[in-house]
Amino acid sequence: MTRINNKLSIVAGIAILCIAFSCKSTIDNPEINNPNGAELSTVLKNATRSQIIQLATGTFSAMRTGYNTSPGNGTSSYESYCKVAGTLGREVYVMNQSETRWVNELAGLNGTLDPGAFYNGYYFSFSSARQTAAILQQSAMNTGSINSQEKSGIQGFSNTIIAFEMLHILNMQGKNGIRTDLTNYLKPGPFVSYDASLTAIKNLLDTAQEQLKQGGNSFMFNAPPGFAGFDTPLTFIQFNRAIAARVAIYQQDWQAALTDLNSSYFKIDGSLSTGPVFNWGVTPDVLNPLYQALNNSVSVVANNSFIKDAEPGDMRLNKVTQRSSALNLVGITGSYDVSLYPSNRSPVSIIRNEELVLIYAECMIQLGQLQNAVQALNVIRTHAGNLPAYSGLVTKPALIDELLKQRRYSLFYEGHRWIDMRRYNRLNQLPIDQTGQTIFDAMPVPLAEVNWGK
Amino acid sequence: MKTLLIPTIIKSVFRKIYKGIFSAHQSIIAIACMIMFLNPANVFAQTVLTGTVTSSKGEILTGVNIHVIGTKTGTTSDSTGNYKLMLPAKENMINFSLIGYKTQQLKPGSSPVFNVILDPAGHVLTEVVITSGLATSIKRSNAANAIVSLSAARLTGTTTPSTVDAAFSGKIVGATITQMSGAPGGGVSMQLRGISSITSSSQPLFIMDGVILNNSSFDAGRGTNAFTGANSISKGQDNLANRLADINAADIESVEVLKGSSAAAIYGTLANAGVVIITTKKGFNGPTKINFTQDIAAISATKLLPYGSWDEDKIKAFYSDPAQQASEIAAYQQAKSAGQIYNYPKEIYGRTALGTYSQLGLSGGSENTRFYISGGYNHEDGLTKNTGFKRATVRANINHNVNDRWDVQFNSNYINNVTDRGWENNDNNGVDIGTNLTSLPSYAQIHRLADGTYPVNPYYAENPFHVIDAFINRETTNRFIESFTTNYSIVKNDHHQLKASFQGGLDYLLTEAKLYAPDDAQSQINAISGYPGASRFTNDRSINTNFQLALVNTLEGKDFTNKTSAGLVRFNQNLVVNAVQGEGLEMGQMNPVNAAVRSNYSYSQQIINTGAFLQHELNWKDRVIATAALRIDKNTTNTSYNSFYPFPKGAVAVNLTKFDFWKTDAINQLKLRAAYGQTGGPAAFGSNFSQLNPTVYNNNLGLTAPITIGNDKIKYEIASEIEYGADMGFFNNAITLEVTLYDKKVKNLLQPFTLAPSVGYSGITGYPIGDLQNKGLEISLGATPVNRPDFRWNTILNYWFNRSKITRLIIPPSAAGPNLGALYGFNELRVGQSPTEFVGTPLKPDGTLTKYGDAQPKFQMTSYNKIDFLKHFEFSFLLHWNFRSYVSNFTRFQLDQGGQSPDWMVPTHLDGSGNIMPGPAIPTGLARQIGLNAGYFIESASYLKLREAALNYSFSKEHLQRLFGNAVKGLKVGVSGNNLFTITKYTGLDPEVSAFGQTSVGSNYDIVSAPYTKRFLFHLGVEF
Repeated sequence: MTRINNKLSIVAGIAILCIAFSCKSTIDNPEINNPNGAELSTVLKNATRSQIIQLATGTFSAMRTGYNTSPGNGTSSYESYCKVAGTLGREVYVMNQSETRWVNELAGLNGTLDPGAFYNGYYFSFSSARQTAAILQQSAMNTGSINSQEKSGIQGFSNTIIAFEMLHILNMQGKNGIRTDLTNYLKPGPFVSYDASLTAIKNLLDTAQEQLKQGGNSFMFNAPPGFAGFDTPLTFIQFNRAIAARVAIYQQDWQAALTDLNSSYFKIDGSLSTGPVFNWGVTPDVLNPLYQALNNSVSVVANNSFIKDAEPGDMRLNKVTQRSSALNLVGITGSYDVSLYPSNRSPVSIIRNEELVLIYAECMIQLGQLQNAVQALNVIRTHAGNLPAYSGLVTKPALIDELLKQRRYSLFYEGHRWIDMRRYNRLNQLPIDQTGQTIFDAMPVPLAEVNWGK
Repeated sequence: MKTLLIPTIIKSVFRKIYKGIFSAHQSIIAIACMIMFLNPANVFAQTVLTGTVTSSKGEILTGVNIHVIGTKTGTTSDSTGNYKLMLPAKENMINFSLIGYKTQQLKPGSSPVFNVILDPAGHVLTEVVITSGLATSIKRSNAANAIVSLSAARLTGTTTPSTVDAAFSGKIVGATITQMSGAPGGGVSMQLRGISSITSSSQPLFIMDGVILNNSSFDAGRGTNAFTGANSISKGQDNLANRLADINAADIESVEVLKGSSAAAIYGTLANAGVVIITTKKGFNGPTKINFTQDIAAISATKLLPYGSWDEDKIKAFYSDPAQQASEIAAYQQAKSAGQIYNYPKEIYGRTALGTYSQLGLSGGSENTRFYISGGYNHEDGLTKNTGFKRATVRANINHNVNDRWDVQFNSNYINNVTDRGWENNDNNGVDIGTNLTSLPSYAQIHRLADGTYPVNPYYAENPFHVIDAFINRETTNRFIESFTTNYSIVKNDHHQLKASFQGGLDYLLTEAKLYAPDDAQSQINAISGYPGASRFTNDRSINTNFQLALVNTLEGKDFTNKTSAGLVRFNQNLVVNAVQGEGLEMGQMNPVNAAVRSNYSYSQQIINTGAFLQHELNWKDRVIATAALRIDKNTTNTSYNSFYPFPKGAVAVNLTKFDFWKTDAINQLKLRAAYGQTGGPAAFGSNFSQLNPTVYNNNLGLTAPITIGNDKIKYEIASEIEYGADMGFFNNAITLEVTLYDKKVKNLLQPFTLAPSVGYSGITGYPIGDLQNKGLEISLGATPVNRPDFRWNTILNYWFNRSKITRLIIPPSAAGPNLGALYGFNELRVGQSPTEFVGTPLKPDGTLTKYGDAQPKFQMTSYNKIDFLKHFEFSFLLHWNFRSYVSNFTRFQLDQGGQSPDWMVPTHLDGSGNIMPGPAIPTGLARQIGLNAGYFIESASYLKLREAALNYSFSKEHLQRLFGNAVKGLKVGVSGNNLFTITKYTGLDPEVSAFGQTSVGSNYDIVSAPYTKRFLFHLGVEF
């Protein structure tokens, strides 16, 4: 072959590459969109009505579970809340040989809580639920597909939920306070004190109440059946006010609590179970994560003091069931399974008249109207506990003891005991079940929050 | 299918161009788009030389490269070891080389028959040809990178491996290879030169005959709540096997390992963690040769976890409740008097399991067509009954020369792999066998009853015998790996060659996972869902396709050789996962459609990478070899999915001994080399997505907030590496020394950018959070301390270490990888610290966690020795010393909780942190639960392992002739073993462990793995 031919062949070779190169289908990369789900950007602007409805349903759902829809491992929001607050308040122990930190670390055997451990999962779950409500609100405000009355309804609804989720985080964080300005995820506002946090939550509930009043006769979405009776803007206000009353007693603003009760579904002689509930269902819905089979080796058991301290015949002891054999784990024994929910689809009460009657009783005690308080406490004692009427001293200290006791049994394993004892500075009265246990007054600020800084 | 368009395009282009140029070749070229192989025959030949090549043991050597120095003339020995060569001139030296043997340069005498004997080579600098680019190769003595090249003899010659990646252990200087658990069927993590990513797994790219292999580990869903509930942290903890387990090691001819970016730069975005190039066997012309090997293995546990003995005092100490104490003591007394005290771990894991490894190969061919056809069947039983690994493979490799310019190669491989992994590792529902055994006292009575039912295990959540007998955790993979290569020599003369080559292929695999837990199992009866009986069927379908089109131009001058290559590459990866799950099964039914609650899952992803490369090599008389290259890539995981990003490379090697001034005969080789290169690591698929989560509430569809927010400016991680070193050969390579230093910097490490959790998003999915650096040293010393005809000892000593360090971080110091909390320790990202450093409680006064030690070892050292003696015997062994890697041993905690620790009853005043407790002494097992900190969990895991050892006997040609006439051409028998002993102070099952799978950080966790195995094999190899 001649030199010229050689050169030609090189040129030819390069030409081949160039041609192949210039062939678009060979070298073009296509854009690959998310094949697995809807992107956030598709709802933030110009959302359709059905997208808004789906976000509202998502908000109801997130209230139940946070982001983790798998029951059982204690990281979904409501479940984790009940388990963690229940252990800190010595209501229950979570017995699981695979994870003894529920029993030893959370009960303070190591003297300190780990800000990076799984039991901080509630924090993100509630935050995620709050963010779902916030996305609903943002999407509703940035679309022309719904009218202004419907927008007001959604604002009032979502702000109520936002406040509700923040309240749960604050309950766990106590003296640490929480961040209340969360509009920009890259620049969240600072932590504010416990009192300031409560004020912010209360204000948001009040704002939501006003927005709901502008929301017309119905929401543009359907609420799940558990909210039957509270599923229009005006009836949803009753739920909003029930939460507000709970916040008000945390603020020790007894007068405000009474006002809130009056706008809620509080009824001293009404059914104690009145109030919205979370519903559950089989896959693809979510089962009640707080339900458990009896006599399991992995079990949430009642703290033995719950049985020991009960008045004889208290019907509320039916919230626990004696095990066929006691569970023993790293020195803790449990003889009673928590059996609050008879099935894995039993609804979970969010806030019910029973608690509102107790809030009323507490206001009455604090405002010195002791007879009214006794009357309210007797409603609880007789209807909830099947117990005789109160026969103790009618003094403020004695009635506070009685109130806390009734709250303990009426609201067992619903995340109240620890918070009640904390707000009455009685954490030191909680039982020490094992040498070396610590009673904590707040959950640690999660590691990621600490790392983020102020 | 874009890849399929290419041949047509090229074909038409070739046709057009050549019409005008070489009309004589028109008809050939018209078909020709693929290619290659320089035809060994040379038209200028004058005399014919023939001969046979054998080893010093008398074995026939096939495939020996025979090359007349200074010419293009060459050939290979055929299946009978014979060769035929046209000698251009009698003055030429002839080079005989074969991987695994010492290269010989000989001058034939006047006789036309020239028989050659090659000695096995133990040292590292054997003269083999290795990869220098995507379409070019280079003599090893001219390479500027330290590329590990493993022959079949090194890979599988000592002992037959379970899986091919297990066979790499201890053989690659610079690699950290971890067998992640003791379960049968693979599960090996391989990291080259430290870690190259935080989020991705840092596993190298595996390429077999040009096909990019899928090495995923598919999650079967065992960690879902219907089964073990372990999934809340990481999906890898399902005790997964990576798909390299499908590859039949017996088909492999050689393996090359490009460890760092400087060697792998030409692979661009795909090569941040290095590249492993696997080449399978080829046929040779000559009579058809039939190879049959059969190995039989006895497999047993290397070690079992301690199992506690019980008595009344211990029961009293263990249980605080008096009623429980009484009932347990009664149970204990009853068991004792009935002689029913058992050692359950021994009963379950104590057996000797059987392994069989069969391989049948046919190879041969004519001058123009050569084939290698093989079938292999491996069957390994697991230690636990009903577990095991069965793999059948068939392969056909066909080479054909269409004419002296054009060759075609087609490799086809089918694999069927069925693995029953068993039920082990992390677990939150108390299902797994090991987890149950840690809390099962020896006086428990849980054997299956006569009526076929299983007693309730009162000590935890499941009866392990029920799991063994009835639970299923099976993965079935069917896989095709097809590769096609063709080369066409456009120009082919002594001083100028221009070659076009096309290489493409596909790797199609379908892994079907089946999980089943029967409805009458204890853990199912107590299922939180309330629906006993669960099954889950998962299909993972993955298709990798890739092709490469290249031109290589070689110009050979008097002093300089210039080699230029350029080409196009494209890679497409397509994964679809579908799963159906049923809970609440009809009695005895396995199909999820028979369940009360049915759920499903579907996921898909596609990644496309398109690139081009240009490389130039300049060789000055083998004295100075310089390479410059540029690869450009675009990858769909980048936000700018259609923009090219550059990956440069530059390298130089100087062979001082080739210069005229070199007079020191004792040093026959001294090469100094330096190489620089860049590679990329693509972001995980979906890193720019912010996906709303679907949820169903009361039959209505809802949407909830994304968990993480995508990064809308996502781009690959980028690594740049400089590597330099020296290769030395002394006394004609009787001693060789290879020393390499490297400095690899990985920039823009992608990691979830953790947001303040208050905001409701946990983080930004992939965010460039900082940089890390890996520095290390690799030394390979090869020697032949004794070299006598009846006793030859070859030895290779490898020593290496890697130090990783975070050099920049824009986020606060934070946990990386799976994180069980500071109590068990986790790997932490912190500037100036290794990203694989374990930190944990207690907090130090300055607010940082206590440092405990690095998961990466301080150094590793291996010693490979091969002793050929008495002509027919070969004794070889491989020792591996891993110094000071650390493991977080959660298993230890489980043993304490279950009362199984050997020292459980020893009275102590010290708590878990070693502080003195007031009051009387209490049992150690209880004391350690108090005041616990991470120091208890994080253990040093140094070890010395005898990885492989073998004694083989090869029959010589003459001997076989006497015994069998011409019927048998080769016969080898032997015994071998692997993991025969491990010396370690580590208290868990094995210091090599990774509960969370192939992860870069957070790998060394021990959470009740399956026991590890040692194998003792008997080997028979026959060649017909």
